[in-house]
Amino acid sequence: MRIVAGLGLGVLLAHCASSEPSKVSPARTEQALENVRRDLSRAPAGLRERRLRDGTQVVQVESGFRHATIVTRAADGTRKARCVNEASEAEAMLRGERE
Amino acid sequence: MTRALLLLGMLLGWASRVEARADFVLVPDGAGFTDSTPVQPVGGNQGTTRGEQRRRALARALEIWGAALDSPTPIVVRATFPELGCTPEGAVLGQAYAWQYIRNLPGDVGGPYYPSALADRIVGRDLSANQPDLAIELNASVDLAACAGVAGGWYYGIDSVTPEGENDLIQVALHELAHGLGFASSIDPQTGTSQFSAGVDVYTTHLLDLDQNKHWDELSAAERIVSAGNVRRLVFDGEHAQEMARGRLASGVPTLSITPAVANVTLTRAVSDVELATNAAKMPVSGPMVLANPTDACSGPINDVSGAVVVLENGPDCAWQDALARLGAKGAVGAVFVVSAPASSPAEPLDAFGYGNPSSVRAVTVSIPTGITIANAIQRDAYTATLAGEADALLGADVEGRPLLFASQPALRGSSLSHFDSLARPNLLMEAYVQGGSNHDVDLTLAVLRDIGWARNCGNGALDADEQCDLGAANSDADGTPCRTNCRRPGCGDGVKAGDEGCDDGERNSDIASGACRTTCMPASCGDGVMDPGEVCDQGIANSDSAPDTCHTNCTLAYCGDGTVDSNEACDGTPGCSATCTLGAPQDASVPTTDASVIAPWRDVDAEQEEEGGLEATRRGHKGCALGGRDGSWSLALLALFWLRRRRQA
Repeated sequence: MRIVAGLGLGVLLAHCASSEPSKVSPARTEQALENVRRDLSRAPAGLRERRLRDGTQVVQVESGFRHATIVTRAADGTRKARCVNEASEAEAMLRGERE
Repeated sequence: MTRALLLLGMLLGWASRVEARADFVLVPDGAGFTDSTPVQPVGGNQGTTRGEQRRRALARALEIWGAALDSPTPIVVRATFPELGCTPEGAVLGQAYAWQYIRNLPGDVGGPYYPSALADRIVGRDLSANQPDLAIELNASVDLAACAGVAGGWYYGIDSVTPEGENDLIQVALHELAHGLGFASSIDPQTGTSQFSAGVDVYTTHLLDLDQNKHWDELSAAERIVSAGNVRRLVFDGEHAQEMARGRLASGVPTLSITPAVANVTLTRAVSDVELATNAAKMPVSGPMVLANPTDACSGPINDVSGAVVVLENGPDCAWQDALARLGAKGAVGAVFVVSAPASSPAEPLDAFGYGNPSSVRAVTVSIPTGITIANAIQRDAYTATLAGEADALLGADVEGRPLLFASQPALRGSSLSHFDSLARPNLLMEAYVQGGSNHDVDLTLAVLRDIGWARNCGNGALDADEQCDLGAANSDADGTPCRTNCRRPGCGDGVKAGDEGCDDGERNSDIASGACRTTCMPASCGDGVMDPGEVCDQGIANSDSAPDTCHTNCTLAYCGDGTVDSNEACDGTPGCSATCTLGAPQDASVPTTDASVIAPWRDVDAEQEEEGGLEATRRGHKGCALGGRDGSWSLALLALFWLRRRRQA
């Protein structure tokens, strides 16, 4: 197993946990929802298929078609984590409409 | 790009090589891995900055997969740790995917699609040079105070001792990486169609619908939609998975039977209504059914439930352990928890109720609709419940030992097809619900990956992952040879019965599977703690011919006439003791005398009920279930509690 220097090494986005508000902001909420809509989308546009000269067919996953583990917090404070690959269901989980 | 990345890494002093069979190359990308926030080493992770700890933890996950798999080409994993945000209700922890899928491999023209890492392994060269094989993305927002309060923080320790409420990064990564390695179906369960233009992926070709008796590549889109909701009737069909399941999964699928049958209630494992039982296979229990009062058995003094199987709500304010402890203290023998699981979907993870439950009170769970029907029925008439287990059936596999896959109709479709059923015990890495205490074991997941093409290369003369030896053509099962044909060294567990071994089924040796050859290479037998074929109970060293209510040393149940006074007997074998183990009173010829689980103390129920004017709270001698009654208020209470809980969750 090897670890190789990252591509975006020069980019440093500092953040400070202690400066975060204790409440989840609408912006952060929308960010999370937008991400699952994109990452779990099953829109065919997310795939690019091509045939190579030797006959092999290659499908490049450009976007979407991912599995995501989502943790949700119930009213009693308990947490559950479930893996899904469907955007609307993931969004419902993050909106608290489904465990 | 792979070589260029490696060279760059070495120049920067970042590249590290760990002995592994599959060489995973981690390419950390972005700010998440360079986060310089100082942190203390945790759980064996010696990183002193947050970025370093992230990199080390993820590297450990890759190391685990690297040791389990083998591949002649490096597997390049692009990893990012961006802020993906969170909501007041939760957050994405992580996600992964295969970078490419490839079909028409040399020698497999017309075959299914393979994730690129697997395609490389099969053809023995890197088909996707300059491209990663997998991508994994983990959510840095989970470490922020605002999100950590909702989602719990990340646990970067590598010891799998995850503090309560935190998220084990390695476990999440192992799970998501498995999807990227091929444990994923390309079919959309909503439409039944493949995401690819020319067929399906290799994993999907192993999905077998037991009702339609077809693999998924043989099903039409409409048939797949049906199959995706075929709860507990969808399995992964693969030799490695089947073989490993027999050795890894516990036996004793719980059963709940009610006598006489309750109208409109079908209790069958196939439809998931009976979720789990505890120690079911070891000792069946029977008793009259009574309703708990209070309904959760926790919020006040409990009614008289001695000798009974109690129907109760899995209340939000009462831990299941507390409920069982309180019922046990009152002498209950069994519990039927009514949980908020739709009957047509696999329930939430309910290990709490079953496997590993230390309580003496056996427990099963049923769905809300079934629970209400039962509750109403037992307020009208007397019913006896028996909690037992199918000794030969594996928890999480079909009768052939093929692992069940998560199917759901329709509530949890987003987890369907590409996960194991949540019934599996012990819990598995690829269950839809992430379970704690995994010890970072790749369990049956590895067997599934082998079935789709990550198979071992035993016999090629090179020592591969999970091989103890490999002498190529010199591998032999004959006595005195150093390496077996399955690449195991001679000895118990090599799959060859030799010397003083009574049996040896290799990986199928098991100390929990019914009838299996034990890991000591001795045949299953009475007294080994597992109910084997021909046994009706087996409590291991607790089997006794003199202690009351225990399984006998010949693995038969306690019964009237065995000379031991059991809890539902007044006497047994002593002068003056009746044939039904009562003292003095005339015998009731209608009461069976051979099954201690369904006799006294409620045998004179008819007389009692007449005497008391048919009080609804009295069921075969068990009094005190004052809640509810013929007016159905118990069911109303259940519904109200269910509604309240949903409201709280909303």
